[in-house]
Amino acid sequence: MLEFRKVTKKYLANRMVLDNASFTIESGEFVYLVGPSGAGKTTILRLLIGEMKPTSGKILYRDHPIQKFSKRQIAYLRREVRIVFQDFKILFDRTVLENVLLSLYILGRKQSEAVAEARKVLKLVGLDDKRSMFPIQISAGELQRVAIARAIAGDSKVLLADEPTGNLDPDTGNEIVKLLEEINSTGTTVIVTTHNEALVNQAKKRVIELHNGTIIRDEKEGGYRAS
Amino acid sequence: MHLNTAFQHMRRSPYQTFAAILTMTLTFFISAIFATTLYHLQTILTDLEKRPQITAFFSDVKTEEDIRVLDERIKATGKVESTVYKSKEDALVLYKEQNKDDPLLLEMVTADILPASLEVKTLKPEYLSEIATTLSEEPGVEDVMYLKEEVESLVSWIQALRAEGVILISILTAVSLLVLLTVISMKIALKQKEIEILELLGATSWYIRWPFLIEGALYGSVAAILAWGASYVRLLYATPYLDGYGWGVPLLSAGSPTDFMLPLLAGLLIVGLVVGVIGSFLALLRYS
Repeated sequence: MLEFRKVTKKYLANRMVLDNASFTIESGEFVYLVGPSGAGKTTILRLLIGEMKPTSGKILYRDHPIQKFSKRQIAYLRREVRIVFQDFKILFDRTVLENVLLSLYILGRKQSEAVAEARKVLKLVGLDDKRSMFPIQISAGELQRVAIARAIAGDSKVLLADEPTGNLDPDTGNEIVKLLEEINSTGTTVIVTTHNEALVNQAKKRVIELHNGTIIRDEKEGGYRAS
Repeated sequence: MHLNTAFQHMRRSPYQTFAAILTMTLTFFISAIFATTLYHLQTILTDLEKRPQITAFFSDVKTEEDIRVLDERIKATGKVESTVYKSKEDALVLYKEQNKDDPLLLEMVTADILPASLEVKTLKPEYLSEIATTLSEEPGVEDVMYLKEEVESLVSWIQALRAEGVILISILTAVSLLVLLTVISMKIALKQKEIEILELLGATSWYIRWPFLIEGALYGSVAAILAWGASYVRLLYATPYLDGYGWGVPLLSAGSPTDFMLPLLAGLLIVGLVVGVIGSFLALLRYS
């Protein structure tokens, strides 16, 4: 479903952030990208949503090269490959429900249809009873759930989570991981970047470890061995 | 959907919305005033041009044959549209008609004491002076009456108003465009986070642009309607007063809106939509 073929990414002044990275992720997989800060984890996610182009190599989504996508094709890619961030990126002047509806209106859903669909995903993340609340009225863990609900609403096939537990206490972080696993069990491919060793160790999922832009390990049920 | 989003944008920053609409309304209101004034002056001018523009009165020494010769001579200049000869008898009929309510004035008057006359219409108002001079220099012509000053001053007013109107309306339109561009730019800047989120969720550029373009178009059309309404109210209010200055020509078409006010509304709406959309589009070019 997703493939990196010898992908290299350099920023300005030839600073290498990803060096000759190759891996394939199949549909329905759950993958942790681990490694220290600056290892290249977020760069991989940004390349996957077409936010930047690789310096060399190929990135394939369903056998289509993302680096050749037009702006419009990138927009359509992002309807299937959705991302959540550590800082949630929630609109604070909209209710929980309205934040989720953003995803669905983009897909052209009619209001009644969109509301029904949004409530379905809010039920999945356990927030349907808080749908009329504003973000300021709910906790950080719940904000992350709103972000996840918004990301999986609609036609998403792949969920990318960039340090989703980074701003959360361990218990809330565990709940978010359980939620991501639940979403993965419905068939959605999930890729999570994290520093959280305990989280990765207990999950027993595939781990791709990066160091200074190079993949140093790619193991199924790998656990976390931070360098 | 995009219309709802545009309304949301407007509701969430009411002061900016008010500023944009107010500035555009002012521009369109002044434009409407210029347009109605020009139309009124043009209506008066057209009406005056339809009237006998020059009337030459002859003494009794001038025979009907002499007057016919003079008539042919001024027609030969190529500057005269038409002439009408009024004999002493015709003048009496006219006099009686004009004074039918005052029998005292009718008692004393006979055709003998009234002069024969020649009414002349020129092809252009600019020829009036020349034809009037020719007639007044003719022996046997007692008096020449014509609307020289009125027509000339009207022509110069129309020309000046047109020039000033074009300059003023251009400046005001540029100001409106700049205000709109600034307001929409500020809104885009304020919505950077929302735009970023929408892009991450898969919104196309046009999905993001449409609400801003619609917002600009709404500002323009609301301003056009408000300006039109205000100018119509002003016109209705001023009509009885201004009618006295129009040489008896009914002011505009306040009684029949279809003649001028509806085309004016259509014109203002088109300009409003164009200015609104262009302002928003320029803002979007700069910030998205």
